[in-house]
Amino acid sequence: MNQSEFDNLLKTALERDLTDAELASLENWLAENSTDQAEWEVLDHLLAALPDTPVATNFTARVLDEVCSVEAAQPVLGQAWWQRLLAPQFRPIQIAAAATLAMVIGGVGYQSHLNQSRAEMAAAIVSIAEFTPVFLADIEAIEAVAQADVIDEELWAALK
Amino acid sequence: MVDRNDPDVALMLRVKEGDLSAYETLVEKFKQPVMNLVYRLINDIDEAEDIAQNVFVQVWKTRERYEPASKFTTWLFTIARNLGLNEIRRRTRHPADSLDEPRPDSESQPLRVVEDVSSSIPTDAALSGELRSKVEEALMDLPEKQRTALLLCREGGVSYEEIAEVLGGISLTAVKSIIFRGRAVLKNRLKPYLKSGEWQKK
Repeated sequence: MNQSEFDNLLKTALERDLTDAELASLENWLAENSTDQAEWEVLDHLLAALPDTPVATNFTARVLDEVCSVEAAQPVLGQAWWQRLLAPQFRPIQIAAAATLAMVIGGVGYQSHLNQSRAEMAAAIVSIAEFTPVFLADIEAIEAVAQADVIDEELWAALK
Repeated sequence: MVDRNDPDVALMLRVKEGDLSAYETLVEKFKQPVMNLVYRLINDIDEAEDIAQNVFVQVWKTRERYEPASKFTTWLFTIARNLGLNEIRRRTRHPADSLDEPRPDSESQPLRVVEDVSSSIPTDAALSGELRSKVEEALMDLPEKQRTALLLCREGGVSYEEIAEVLGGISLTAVKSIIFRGRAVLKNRLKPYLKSGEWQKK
């Protein structure tokens, strides 16, 4: 690499990222050319000589205060997420969750009760159906008696 | 995996156990580099201080997730950069927001107490005022990645590998290229001052 190639690479660097090969060439060039190396070091010197940004004297105290208030707001930091939900600040969520749970349990219980009633009714129908033919036969005999002709009173008296 | 005996890692592991005095030591040790980075990322001293404090609060909040897979500073600077970028994005979305309004919870207290800069920063030992402001200006005009990479280089002790991690896990070649580009741009911008030798004046 020569000086003009180095200068060209500098221009290229302003336009795009350099490749591995280009970077290696640059590093080699800088290692061998003290003038360019010195300019590079001047830049580093300028950056290093920038003053530190002023920091408030109470910076650390304010950070510690903030951390303490975070701790106070989250006393259950080490607990599992579901345990944190038991904290007082989640009271509305807890009430809503309890109400939902009660409704679900009530719904399931009511449904179970309905199912049981239906099963009992079905069992009753089955048991009635089992002796219905006999019952119906008796009904027919009774109906037959009820539908008999009116007694012939004279014949009845003669038979006596 | 980083050596657990590294002093910063050892401190952070104590913080992980909830040791508040170790945490205080960490804040004291790293508040300056974090402020330097955040301020030069967002270019607003008041907001930079709030963000820098938030960086350390985040360190505390997420301490249980800390694993010494890399140097502590890599983790710290990553948090600092992310919060700085969030602020830049927030400003892009809400450019009219005033950053100077006092917060309602701090009305009774001064918003911030700043050291007497003139006594803490020996200006005569560094750069002349004009050159310093030109360097700051040129730095602020760099794209964020180039600026962050150069600022991390400036902090010293931050390797290219660490910078690659802070910048989101990019390759080493990309880091070298970003740093080189940043330097090239600065060199171009500051050419008149470099040639005049003004940087050598003290």
